[in-house]
Amino acid sequence: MLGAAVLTVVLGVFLANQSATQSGSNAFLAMSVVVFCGIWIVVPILTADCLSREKREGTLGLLFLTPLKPFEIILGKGTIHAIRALTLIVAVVPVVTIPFVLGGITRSNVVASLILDSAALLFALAAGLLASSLCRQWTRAIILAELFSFTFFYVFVWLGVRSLGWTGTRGNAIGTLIQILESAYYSARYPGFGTAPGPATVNLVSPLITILAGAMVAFVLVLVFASYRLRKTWQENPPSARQRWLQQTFCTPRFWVGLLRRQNATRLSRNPIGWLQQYSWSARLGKWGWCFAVITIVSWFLATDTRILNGGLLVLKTAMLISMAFSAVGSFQPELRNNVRVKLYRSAAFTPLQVGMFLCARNATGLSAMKRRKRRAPFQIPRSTSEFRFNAKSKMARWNSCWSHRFRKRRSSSAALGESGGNSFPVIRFSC
Amino acid sequence: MSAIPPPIPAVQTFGLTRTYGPMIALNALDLTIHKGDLFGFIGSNGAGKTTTLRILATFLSPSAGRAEVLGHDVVKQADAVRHVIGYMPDFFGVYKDMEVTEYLDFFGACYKIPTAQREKTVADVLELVGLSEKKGALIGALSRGMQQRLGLARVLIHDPQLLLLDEPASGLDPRARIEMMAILQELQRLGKTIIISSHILSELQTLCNRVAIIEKGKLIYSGPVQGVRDQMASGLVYWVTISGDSAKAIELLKARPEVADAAAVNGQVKVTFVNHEIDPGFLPEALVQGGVRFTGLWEDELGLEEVFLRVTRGETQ
Repeated sequence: MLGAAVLTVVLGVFLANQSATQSGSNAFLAMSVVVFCGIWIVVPILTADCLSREKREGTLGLLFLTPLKPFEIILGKGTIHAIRALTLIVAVVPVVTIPFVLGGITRSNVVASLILDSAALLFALAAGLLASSLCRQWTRAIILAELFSFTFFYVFVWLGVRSLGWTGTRGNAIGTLIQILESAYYSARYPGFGTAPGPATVNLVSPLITILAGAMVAFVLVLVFASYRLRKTWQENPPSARQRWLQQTFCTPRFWVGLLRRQNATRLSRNPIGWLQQYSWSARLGKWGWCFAVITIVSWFLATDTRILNGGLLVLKTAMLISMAFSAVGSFQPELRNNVRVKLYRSAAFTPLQVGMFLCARNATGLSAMKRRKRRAPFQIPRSTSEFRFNAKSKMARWNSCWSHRFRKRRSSSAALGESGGNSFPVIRFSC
Repeated sequence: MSAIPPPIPAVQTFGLTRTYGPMIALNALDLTIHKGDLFGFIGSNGAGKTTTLRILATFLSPSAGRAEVLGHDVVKQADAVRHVIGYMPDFFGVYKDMEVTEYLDFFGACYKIPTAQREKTVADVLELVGLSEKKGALIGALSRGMQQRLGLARVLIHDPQLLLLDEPASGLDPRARIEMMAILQELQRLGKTIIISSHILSELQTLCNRVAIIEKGKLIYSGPVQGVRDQMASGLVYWVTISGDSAKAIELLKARPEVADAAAVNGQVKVTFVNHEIDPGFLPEALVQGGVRFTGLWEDELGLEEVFLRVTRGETQ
């Protein structure tokens, strides 16, 4: 309702000073494009976690114990998410009445809009389901779903272009897509359904049917593949020999092993939560993968055309920020999934770590993937209790004194608990 | 006199083997479990209990060998096996935002129980596991013990003939454990075959009629609980509480050829016979004839925990 209200206001501003017929066409075009883009972006995100969540929470195996078949499970998930996705279209129905009242919209526009949205919906659902069947982690499923969505979008465009048999007056696929959408949605410029701009008048029925049929085929293929994949992977087998080889070959250090081990030990002493965050081989692979990708892309920019360097770097920075955001969002997922909130609290209560440090350390880990910090962060945990010695000359000392003050408070309270025998947990004592 | 019918096997494994890379989790396991048994599966951590149960539940494929559940091959007829078993893993997920009845209703629907019958079935299983009062509660708000009971209720929703329960009492408080065991005994009385793996051996000892002991993927023993006791007991042991000086009693008993050893332990006399087939009836007679007054006499029963410690070497993989 809120979205519809906002959309109505935006339309009001957008359509000011236009004739009624033109306003109707423009409004219909705007809304259709918003819904069309919304489907491609939002539906994969909504669908991406439907199977991966079952895998994570250990409920998928219970479903497989029932007479349900993998295909039935996937189809059930797909159907319910399709219905949920349809709310996107339903949400704009009240607003759609405005262009109809203003006029300038033909029945053909509505039919074309529905066909294109349905095709987009099927592709987007397929992207989400496919990613969900392949992943276990929520963040990975969403990222993969968006990548699949992007790929399927190109399939969508390719189908339209191929069925039309021309590349469009704008000379590229995206230009062709825009023309297809315009001719479908925008009756003011291209009156009458069935014609499209181009070197020759082309009937739009053919591409619309081709796109819809392609979407249906893709959806069914993805359902079949996803159910096959689910049947193969639901048993949670340990890593195969090939996976172990890959991990051993590409994710295990071969050179400077001693140096890396020492560095690892230092990192663990300084920032245990950050160390934990980067413990898995996939996290390390992600970090070095980003590093490799950045170097490669920047080198490519420099080697080809320096004019696109600034724009390219902006895109790259945006991508990295989005990646960091996803990483930050997903960073507490394992703890939440395993109900470690209680453990976090316990850790905070019975170790020197405090809740603020958990958050800071995780952020530091994310940042360290982009820029290696040489100096110690103020929130880092001292390597040993001897490091609490006050050093008034350095900036770090202020922080250390701050932490040592907190630790002293904790020590006194811990000691009190220990002496009174009121605490069954091991009490950590500090000798600073 | 009518002959006792031979037991019908509910589960049979033939050379069942499962490897994880170089590690052998199950090593040619040959096991037979009869219908109506309450069968205890005992082993150290990593011994292969969960792997066996997962294979029987079609959660895992064997690397070699085969297993049959109520006549169905677990690999070739996995769907048929799933119809007749109820499997409760050691860790199982629940839909925490569902209510208890909704959860069971959902699984009832998955098992294609007709709508009219489902409501009654859900009420029945809730009654059986003692969760009737919690039927409207959110699953996320239930305690661990309650969730374990709910897991058992889910397992029972389609009335399976065989229950595979992996550590059903882990994490439960003593009262909840006792109640869980009572539920299992009730289920056995209803004719279910139950295979239960547990670390709480004292409870298995009184609960199960047959046990299997497994270590490093190999079956060490399978049979009645008393059988393993008899196998492990080197000699029958009796304890005698003597009124007065026990030295005379020890001297008297040591002179008997049936007695291997007699010694005072914690104010009582521990009498070890040369083997466990000797009739201990001579013991009170010898003491009375020797003028020794005694106030108590009882057999030292070898507990399952003691048996387990003796037959296993604590090896894990």
